[in-house]
Amino acid sequence: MGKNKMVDQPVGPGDAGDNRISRRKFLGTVAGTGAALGVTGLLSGCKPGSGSQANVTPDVQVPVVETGVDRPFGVYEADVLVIGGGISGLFAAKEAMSGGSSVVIVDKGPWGHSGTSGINWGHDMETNEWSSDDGSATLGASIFLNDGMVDQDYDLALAKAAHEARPVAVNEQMGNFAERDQEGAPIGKNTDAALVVDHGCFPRAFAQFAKHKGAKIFDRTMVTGIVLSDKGEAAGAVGINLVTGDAIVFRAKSVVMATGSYAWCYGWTGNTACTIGGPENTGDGHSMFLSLGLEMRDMEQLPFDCVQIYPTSTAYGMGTLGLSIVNHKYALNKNGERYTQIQDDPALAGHNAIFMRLTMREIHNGRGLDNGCVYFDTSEIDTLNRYYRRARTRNRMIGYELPERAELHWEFWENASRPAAVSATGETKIPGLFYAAANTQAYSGCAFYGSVGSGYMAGKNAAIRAKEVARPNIVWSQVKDALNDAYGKLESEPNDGVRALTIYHKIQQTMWNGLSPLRDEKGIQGVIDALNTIKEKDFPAISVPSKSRRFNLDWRHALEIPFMWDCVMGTAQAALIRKETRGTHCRTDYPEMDNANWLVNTIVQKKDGTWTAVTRPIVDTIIPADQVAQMVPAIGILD
Amino acid sequence: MADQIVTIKMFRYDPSVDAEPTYKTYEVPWKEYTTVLECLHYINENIEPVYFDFSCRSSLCGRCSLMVDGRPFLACVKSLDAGSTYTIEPMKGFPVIRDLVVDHSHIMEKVYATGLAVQSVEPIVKLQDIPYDLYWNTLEPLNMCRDCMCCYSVCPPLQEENKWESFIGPSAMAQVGKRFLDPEDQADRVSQAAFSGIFDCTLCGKCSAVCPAEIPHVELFTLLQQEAEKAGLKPKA
Repeated sequence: MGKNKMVDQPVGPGDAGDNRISRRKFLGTVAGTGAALGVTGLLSGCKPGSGSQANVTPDVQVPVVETGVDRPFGVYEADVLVIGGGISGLFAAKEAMSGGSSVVIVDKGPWGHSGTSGINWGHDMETNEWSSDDGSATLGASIFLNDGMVDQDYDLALAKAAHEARPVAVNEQMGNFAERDQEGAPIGKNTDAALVVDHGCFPRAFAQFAKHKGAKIFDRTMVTGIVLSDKGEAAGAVGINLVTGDAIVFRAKSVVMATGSYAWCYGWTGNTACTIGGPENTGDGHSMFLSLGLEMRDMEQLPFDCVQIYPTSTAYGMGTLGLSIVNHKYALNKNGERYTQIQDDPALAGHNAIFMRLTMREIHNGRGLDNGCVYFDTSEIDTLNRYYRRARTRNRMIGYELPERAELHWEFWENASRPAAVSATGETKIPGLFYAAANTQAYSGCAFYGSVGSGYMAGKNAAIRAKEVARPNIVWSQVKDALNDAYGKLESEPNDGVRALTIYHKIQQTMWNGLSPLRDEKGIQGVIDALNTIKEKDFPAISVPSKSRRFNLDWRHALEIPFMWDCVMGTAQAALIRKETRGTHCRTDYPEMDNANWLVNTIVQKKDGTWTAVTRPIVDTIIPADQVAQMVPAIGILD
Repeated sequence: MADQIVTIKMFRYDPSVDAEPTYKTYEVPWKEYTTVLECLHYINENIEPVYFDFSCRSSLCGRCSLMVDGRPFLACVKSLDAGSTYTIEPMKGFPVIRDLVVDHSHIMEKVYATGLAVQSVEPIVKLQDIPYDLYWNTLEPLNMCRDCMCCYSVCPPLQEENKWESFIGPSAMAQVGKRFLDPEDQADRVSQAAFSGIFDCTLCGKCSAVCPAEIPHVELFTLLQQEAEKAGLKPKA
């Protein structure tokens, strides 16, 4: 036969009806075609031509569709597909299940331990759930903390969703404990306010819950592309099981993209990228959005803070000694002077982006350390249990003693970009493709709030859509192309091949070279030029040394390289056109923050391999831009 | 400069192609605080591809657990001495995926089965106060379990007496204990502990000794055994 075939009928549980196929008929059909069937359950051994045609029951009345896919693959179907098992994906999955949907979650890393959420460091929990309104009041805080760069329609919906999701209460219901103070009270004290902060979310408990509640989990499985129906709706995704190397097509009525950040694209020390994030965070989702032709917003914004870099073995580790808005008073420049006094004022005390810009101001004006960044004053370290407890244990394990002034370095822990157009239901311009991530709230530091709100919103509305629409068909040529591409990368044996890991690090180095928080036009243009050279010269040479499909990390890197390339290129394109300093984007050639002219989003798009970047006024449907300009302190990096 | 070198004797195995595991020796430059994880990256980047898992580089995620000279550690915080030789192997008692990467899934099923969340059916309306000492010294450390499986690799009832059928093992049991101590939990965690093999535990303390999160298993399991005995759930000798 040589070709997989697809029985294109809705035959999964929940679709019972006249067309429902009997188990006997179903098995008979599969045995004959080695094909992809839309049924809840993974079909293993779907090799072309496997099985015997003689097993086919003669009275099968199901139309068989040629898929044209000539590589073996399995199929799994659910109402809702969630890509990514971090806190955003887990809230999406939880809410989609509550909405009556069957859910499949695909995660690149090990379940409950994948990506940045999977580090389980005890995330801070920003919440508005105790607020006596419906959460709407949080919009104002969001505008202030994100330098005005919010889509007000979306952020209002997100605020209401976070309120409804009740993240802190649910976290405790899951079996985690939020931090209690000396009096035994929770840190946020259940305060009726637009935004309060508790501490101590451990996503592994949510991951256990999702599994226990019945979500089907495919972990250590990497999605390489979204598949669409012939009407252009999201219809599922193609993935590779990284343990076995098998291909799987996930079919769904709604797809939630929750793959997290692309912080892992930044730098490489020999032991880690220059981020506290996880190695799964290579921007797969952002790249897939770009490849679907979606406009991406504010890619230049990469929130950072400063973390311990000695000893090098624990450099950039999550939970190391770190400086952000919560402990800014311990930040010292090279002269041992504090520089964040203006944030002692309660009006600016919560503004993380201002802290970041003040840090860059020190460096820009020659008061940074030789390593480029700042000191942490450790004299009161014994009082900092919450933030330092794990680093204390870790330093003891390796026998390291903290100096009085610890040298830190900046690290990107997130990116603030998302598809430019996301509806107040969390849906992108692709019908059925939903978006969930911390991104929109990232440079405020409210990553948890953003993850929960967007995840809850996406999961809830993905379930609603799944009840309303028929299962989309699939344009199978997309699957064929995706599998040929994925396996082609493993099988390719180019002359003068370069190991995938080498090119992967080259992209990380390129981003480090020109897209640090302090940037200028020459450096950014250098990134674009270097990326174009990498694409032209290195991409054809990508080589995977081991041809085994089993847990082949170089193969995984070969699959990640184009995703990382897109994210770094998108960041450079956006960084080039924002000719001011705002958020976490600090231009040494445009050091001022300019609310009169730059209250705009950057919009980057990739079409037919060509990149465009434009600016567009913010969505100010609730609070007009001129008022927003008054709410946002214009603090740049000049003295 | 032999003293500025660390020698790694590493377990190598791709079950999809290799008939059996082999050991291969690598020399890695040493610097102060060099960790196993740094050595693995060095080998992978400078000598030849080797396969291992990691994420956080800072003892939090639990993904880089492996055996160093027969004892479980997290590779990211196991520092090595210059001039010494170390045998690095995958976590004992788990199926090997490739080289140092193992499949934890059969244990994770036991962890999921404890029902961490699902037995608290009444919604929490507001967070209640918890005495600081109970929070900071008992409950918060229990939050820190990494699922790294170090405890499973040294547990005598499991590794020596093969009580996999009756005993869910240290980290899953610690999760039951965490919920037992939780004022919000509504399930009968004492019965759960008894029927999950709490009396298979001999309170030897080997789990605590290797736990990177420093979870006080022995105290916790002693308490669960006492409570189960009070409830008449201790098996007759």
